[in-house]
Amino acid sequence: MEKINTWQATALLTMSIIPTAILFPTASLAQVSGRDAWLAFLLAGLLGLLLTALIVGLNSFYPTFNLLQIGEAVMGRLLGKGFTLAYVFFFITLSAIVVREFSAFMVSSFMKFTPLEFLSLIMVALAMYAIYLGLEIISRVSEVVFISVLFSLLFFVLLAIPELDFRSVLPVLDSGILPVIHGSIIFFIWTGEIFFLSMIYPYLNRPGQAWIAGVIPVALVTFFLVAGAVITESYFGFQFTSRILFPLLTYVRIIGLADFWERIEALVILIWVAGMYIKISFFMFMAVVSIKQLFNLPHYHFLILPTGALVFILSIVMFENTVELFSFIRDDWSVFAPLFAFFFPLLFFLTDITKKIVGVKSDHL
Amino acid sequence: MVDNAGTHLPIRTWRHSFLFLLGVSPGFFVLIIQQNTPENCMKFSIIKILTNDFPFKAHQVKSQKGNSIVFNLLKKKLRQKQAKSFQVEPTYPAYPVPLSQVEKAKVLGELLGHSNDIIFRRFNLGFSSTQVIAVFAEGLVDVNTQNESLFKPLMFYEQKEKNLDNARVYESLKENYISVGEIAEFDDLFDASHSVLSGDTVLLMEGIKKVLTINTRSLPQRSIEEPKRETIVRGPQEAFTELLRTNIALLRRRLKHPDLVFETRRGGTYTYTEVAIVYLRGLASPKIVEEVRRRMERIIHTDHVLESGMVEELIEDSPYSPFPQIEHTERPDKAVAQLLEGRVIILIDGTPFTLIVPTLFWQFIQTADDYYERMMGSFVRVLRLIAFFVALFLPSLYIALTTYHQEMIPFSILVSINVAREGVPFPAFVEALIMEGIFELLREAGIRIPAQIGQAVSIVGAIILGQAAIQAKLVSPAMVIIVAVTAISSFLIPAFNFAIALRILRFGVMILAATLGLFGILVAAMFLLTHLVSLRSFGIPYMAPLAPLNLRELKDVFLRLPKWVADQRPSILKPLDKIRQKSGLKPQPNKD
Repeated sequence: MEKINTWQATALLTMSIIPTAILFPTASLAQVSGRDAWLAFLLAGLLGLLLTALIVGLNSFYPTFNLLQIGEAVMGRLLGKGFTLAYVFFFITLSAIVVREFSAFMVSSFMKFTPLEFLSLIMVALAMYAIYLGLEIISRVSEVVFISVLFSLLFFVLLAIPELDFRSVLPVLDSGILPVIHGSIIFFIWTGEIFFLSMIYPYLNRPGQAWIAGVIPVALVTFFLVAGAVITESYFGFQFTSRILFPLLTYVRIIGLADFWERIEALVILIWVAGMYIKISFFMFMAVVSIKQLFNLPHYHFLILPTGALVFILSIVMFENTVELFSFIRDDWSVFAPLFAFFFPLLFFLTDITKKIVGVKSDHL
Repeated sequence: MVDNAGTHLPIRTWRHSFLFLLGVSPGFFVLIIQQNTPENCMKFSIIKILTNDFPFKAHQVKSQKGNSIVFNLLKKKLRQKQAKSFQVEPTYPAYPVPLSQVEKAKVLGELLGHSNDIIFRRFNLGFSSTQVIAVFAEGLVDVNTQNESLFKPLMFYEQKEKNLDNARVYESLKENYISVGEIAEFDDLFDASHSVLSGDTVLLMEGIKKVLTINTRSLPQRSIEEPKRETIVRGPQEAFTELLRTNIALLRRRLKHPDLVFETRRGGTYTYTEVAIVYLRGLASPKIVEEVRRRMERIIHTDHVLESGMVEELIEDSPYSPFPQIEHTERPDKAVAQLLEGRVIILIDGTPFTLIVPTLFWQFIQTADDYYERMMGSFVRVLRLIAFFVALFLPSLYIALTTYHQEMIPFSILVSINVAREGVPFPAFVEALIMEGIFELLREAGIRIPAQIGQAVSIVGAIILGQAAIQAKLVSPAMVIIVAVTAISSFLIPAFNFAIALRILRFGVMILAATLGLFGILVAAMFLLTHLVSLRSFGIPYMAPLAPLNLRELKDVFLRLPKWVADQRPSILKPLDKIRQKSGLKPQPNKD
């Protein structure tokens, strides 16, 4: 079995969260949590750390299993397969959403005259190639992309420092704690994605360091999003931020380099696309692996084409337009995601603990 | 986009679930259609679901009959395929040495095809009546050695004891009379015929079931010259030659260590070319050496090996990749340096180009100069890396920016580009395609034509094509600049075979840039990156130490840090002896 090291897992998980996280939730959270958006990001980050602890704890009982296999071992075959089926749907839908997010963003801000379907098709095809080559290859690509994404993000955070106005985030908790909690639940869609750690756990060559691969991505994502929230609030104020589609992109747009190069956002978008490529490949990889797990297949290569086709079709038929995509993520997906990211693993964990206490032996596949 | 959260949430949720199912069901049709392909066993799982066998025993699917039959069939097929691709070694008919002298000469003569350059010299041993035949190939033998060390002692042979039988005489000849270092015995005339053709002299003697071969080789060869392809400013100016023996000597001279091992074997059923696998026994990873040996088995089955490129194609990992996965060199010093990093060298008789395995991506943008000049000289590497990207992406960037993203170009530059492009009838892509195509034509012409008329081509290229095309407003000056910069950049890549990959890929990236703009370039870049990190050279990841990342070993990638920093060998090659030198060799002023 191919193995990846801790650094690769860190890069992979970070790249599976960051690309959409820096674009999509900023406006939604400004809308829901208002001035306290940064607090909501922070809270969601803490939730993500909690989830990391849960996942690492759960997986330390079953170091050679991924989440679905643990589910089947803990919950029994029948119920376990039911959970696996649910996760198959979850991963396929998630991949479709991300593909749609990608093409919607590209069309709305970069390539206005290109058909959305075409962009989705290219991305899905590219991702299928990466999946065909395997997780090891995806994680190696993510290493290279991770470095460039990280440096470009840091670069833009540093550029913002002179204009930062920390008074814009005051007063804290002006409208109570509830909007913050609401916002953090929305952003938990992203920090909750750290539960993918469980899906790559069997691939880690040093499972003892798995917590590093969980903590660092959550910390990085939270840091950049909190920074982003403070930046957008100092530049635009939260009310205006909530009305812009992609506030951080708008911030990048107003940056000019040396009074000479004005429109550098295209470069940012390119780096973002690279990140998106990793994200989509990884999500589709998990979808394929979960289907493989559902039917106990020996290998997954022949599943790539149908899954890719499925994701492509779904990404187009699921939403009519970008606004619907946004409200779906904000209103509906924020209910679904914690269920799969948090509550099912928690259920597995509690069941396992209970079984251990009662003394029932779990089936080891 | 701002609508209030949850105004008609229930309806939308239902619609989403519906769409969701709608989307999923055709997908499963696709799945079911897909499983008709023979290579999978999805069928069995689906049937199991349908027949209610699922999910109660699903975990045992692997061990169940249906699947195991499929697996066994697959395995069997695979094995057959492997068996087909690795046939048994080609068997030569056996020609045991006959007793009678006449018989021997006849068989050997037939084996050698009664060719006129093969000489059968019959003479008597000393003044006795024992007849000996010396067989050798004219022109391949050193006449002096032959006369002084072979014919003279044998013809003036004096039998000390009387009435010795032929076997005893043969032994005494071997032990006391033939004054040549390298001799060998064969009991098969087929082997003997090969050594005749390599320049040895074969002695046939009445009543002996063996033949004696004496090394009298003097093969036609050129002298050691300067390297033609890999010229450097500072460093040794010797290159390998065509002769394997000379090349081995060149390596030995630089690496006086008992661990240096040469494993020779022959490949090519017709050319019977000698090939040497060279490595340091206590240093190179045994796994890699074993892998090299295993792959070199393949050359036995081919009929000719004329150049290292032919071996390269037989032993490389991904034959369809545009990127070369095996580096070649004609510099003995470079070969020695690679041996000391734990790599394996493959020398091939008849060509000065030797193969270096395993090869990493970065070796193609490094030269021996980087290590001979002081560390500051290695900043050129950064330049070469930039040249790599320029050679691959610059024309595409120009196409993408001028066609799709004019807003990204600073205004003043945009104006000058557009002024220059005024009156040019083609879009930027066609313009770039024409100019790049013409440049490739010129380059190919420059390689093939004799040096005397080379000037004519450069005049035609520079003046007629460049100047006239601009004046005729067929291409813009900006495009000529782009093509020229691209060309110079691709000449900066030291490895020719690597630059070929860039030349081909450049056109692909240009097409993508013309259709999708910057996004197309990025798609190309991501595809190439994915391809590159998936490549392996003899099992070693091609892009190491960047991906998989090893920060400590990046010190010899983008820059070469000073020699006293490099105290360990590259760990990716898993050398047995990890330490290159003790640490703390940094020159320091005396403390006193």
